[in-house]
Order: sequence, then C-alpha cells, then structure tokens
Amino acid sequence: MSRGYALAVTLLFGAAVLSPLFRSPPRDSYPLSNYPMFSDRLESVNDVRTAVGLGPDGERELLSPRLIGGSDEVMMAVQTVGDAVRAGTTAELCHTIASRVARAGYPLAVVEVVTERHDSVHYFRGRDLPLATEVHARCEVPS
Amino acid sequence: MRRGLRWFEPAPARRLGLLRVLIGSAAVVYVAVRARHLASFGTFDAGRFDPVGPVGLLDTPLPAWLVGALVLAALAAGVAFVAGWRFRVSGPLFALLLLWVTAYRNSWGLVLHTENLMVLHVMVLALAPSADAHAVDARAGRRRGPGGVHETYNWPVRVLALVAVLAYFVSGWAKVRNGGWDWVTGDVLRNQIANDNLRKLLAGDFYSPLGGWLTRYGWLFPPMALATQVVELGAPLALLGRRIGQAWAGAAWLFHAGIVALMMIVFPYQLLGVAFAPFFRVEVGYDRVVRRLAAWRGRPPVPVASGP
Repeated sequence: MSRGYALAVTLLFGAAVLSPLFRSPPRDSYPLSNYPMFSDRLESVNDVRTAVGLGPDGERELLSPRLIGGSDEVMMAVQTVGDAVRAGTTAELCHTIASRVARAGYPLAVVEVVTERHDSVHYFRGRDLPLATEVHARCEVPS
Repeated sequence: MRRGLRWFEPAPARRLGLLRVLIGSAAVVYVAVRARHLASFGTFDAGRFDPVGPVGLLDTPLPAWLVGALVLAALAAGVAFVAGWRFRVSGPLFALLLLWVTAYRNSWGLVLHTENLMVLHVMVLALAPSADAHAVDARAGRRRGPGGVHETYNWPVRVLALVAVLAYFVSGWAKVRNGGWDWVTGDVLRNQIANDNLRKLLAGDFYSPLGGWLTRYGWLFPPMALATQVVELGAPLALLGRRIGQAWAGAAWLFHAGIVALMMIVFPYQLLGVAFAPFFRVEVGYDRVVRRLAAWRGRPPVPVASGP
C-alpha cells in the first residue's frame, strides 16, 4: 500500500473525527460526535422527568428503566418520559407503564408520570424531598 | 511526518494483526452480548425513529426481521474479521455492519457515546493490511503487504491512535465551548455528577453513592475538572512519542475509571484497555504471555520475530 493511500486514510479519519467541531449549530451524530454529554453549564436545581408507582397505601416506589422506557437503559427511560411530556402523550405513556407493572406482577395500585424539581447537591446531603412536583398523568394499574 | 509523528517507521505485521484480533474481538463480544438488545429496536414505536449517521438514509424503520438479520450478519462477519479470513471482503463488511447496527441502536432519540471509538477503530483496521499476520489469510498466502517488518504496518496503528486522541480532544473542546472555562473553575462538574446520579436514582437505575456523597465537598471538583481537561484537550500530545502516548493512555484509563466510580457510567472498550492498545507494542506483551504459558506447561518457548 502506497504512502499516498496511507495519507489519504489518515486525512479522511482525522478530518471526519474533527468535523463535528464545525457543525453549526452544534449537533450530535454517530459515530462522528461532538460529545455534548456533561458539557452544558448546569445548575444544581433541575427538573427530573420520571414515572413513579404508588402502593395500595400510597407509599411511593421507584420504577425501573425497563418499566418506564421498555429497555434497560436509564437514558432511554428519561428520554421516553421527556418525549411524552413534550408531545402531550403522558396519559398514553402512563397506561403503557401501568400495563408493564401489571404484567411484571408488582403490587402497585397507581402509576404517576411526574416532573420533580430537585436540588441535586442538597439531595445527596439528605434533603431528598422534591422542591416541587408536577403530576402530568395518573392511572391505575390494571388488576 | 516521519520524524515527528512516526507515521512511516517500520513496524511488524504482527502488531497490526494482533490489534485486529484484539479490537475485532471486543467488537464481536459487544455485538454478541448486546445482540438481543440491538435486535429489540426492530420492535420500537416508529414514531420515535430519529435516524443518525448512515441510518439517515432511511425515512422509516426497517422491518423487525431485517434488524435481527443484520445483527446476526454483523456477528458472522465479525468472526471472519477476527480470524482474518477473506479480509478484503470480511474487513469492510464487518465495519459497515457494525457501524449500521450501532447507528440503528442510536436512532431512537438518544445518542450514546460508548461505542463510537470502537466502531471507528474497526473501520480503520478494515482499510489496512490488518490480516497479514495472526490471520487465516496470512497462512493461506493472501497478504496485502510485504509481510514481516515494514512501514505499511505502522501507519494504520498511528491512525488508530490519531482517531482516539482526536475524539478526546473534541470532547474536551465541547466542554469549553458549552460550559466555558467555568467548566474547570466552577461548580459545573459537581452539578453534572449530582444531577446524573440523581436522575439514575429516580429512574430506578444503578447510581454511584460515592459520587453523590462527594458532591458535599465542592472543593474537590475544580481539580477533577482540570485533570479531565488536561486528559481531553491534551490528548493530541500523545502522538508525539511512545512514552508520552503510553502515559496519556494510562491517564485516560484512570479518567474512565473515575467516571465509573463517580457516575456509574461504563465505557467497556476503554476500561478493558482495548481503546488504548495502539499506544503499546502489543506483540511484545503477547509474546511474554505465550512464553509464560509455555513455561507453565513445561514446553520450550516458540521463537518469534519482533519489530522495533
């Protein structure tokens, strides 16, 4: 293989990996990423969109990513709830999650799709109650 | 380029061949372990389809059977890639299939970043004479290069290293561009770690209790952020020499170990060390292992040729 070929492959891959730097506006893709994760200027107070279960006596239970988003990936679960809130389809999502909870046999009575506002730094200091909670949808778990 | 970046120094075909086996094996194991998960995207709601990369060629999702078939095809091509069998075909074929199945997995509204470097490395190997040693093709006399020790086996290894360091550089630059220098001096990293762990905790996933606990101590985070940026923005310096490259590889590995400890985010390709193998003379390590195994079995070691 010639040096010309070697340089062409070198330039091709070098330019490709650097190309996301020049996307305007910045946009993530695959496999050529601008690696936006953890780069935003975040404050400690943030909204977390998720779904929770309530037991027969009203006790609150966290649901797994599989119950919320249909896969084991937590980011997919978070994305699923976020998409539903934006699209106004939280009622449908709530019923989907409730059906998964019923199929899995968990002793829960109600599912809520919520946005909770937390101060994440304070949370890990023991102040774990949300600063605010907005319930987008509430549905019963089918028996 | 020859003196500064050592692109055209002679190197043994074995180094490139072993990197093919190592990187290819990591990719095949990834596809095998994640096969069900990768195939499950064939049944996702079409309304969530948001294609990225090469999947952008599609307007609508593929039928479920085809998604599963492509995962199986990637697995089969990957085995041929690792074996170095008919590499002129199996090399590019595996690279394309691996790119496709991982891009398809990322085409549902959420782009993850744990496989990018592995896929790019497989693509580089597919375009190089990577099956001229430790390969079925080499044994059958189907070499693409001269064999032995030659510059044609060095530049692909340097491109593997180049791709790795540039990916880290882009990641570091994104932090400066989006977070400003506050990313290093302020509370940005602490807030990122606290938020990430809290989001996982509230979604019922594993999180890092250590990362959550450490967010109480704000003074820890600016030095961590500075170390992160030294590893990421300083990555291109790793191309300047073997020792500095190996030192950077060690620092980058520690960086990923820290990410696991503080955020419970696992980058398997990096944590297994495979991503950083191009910075090392892997054939030397391989020979050492073979000699020790031979000694352990009570057999004389097999003499092997080694390059610079």
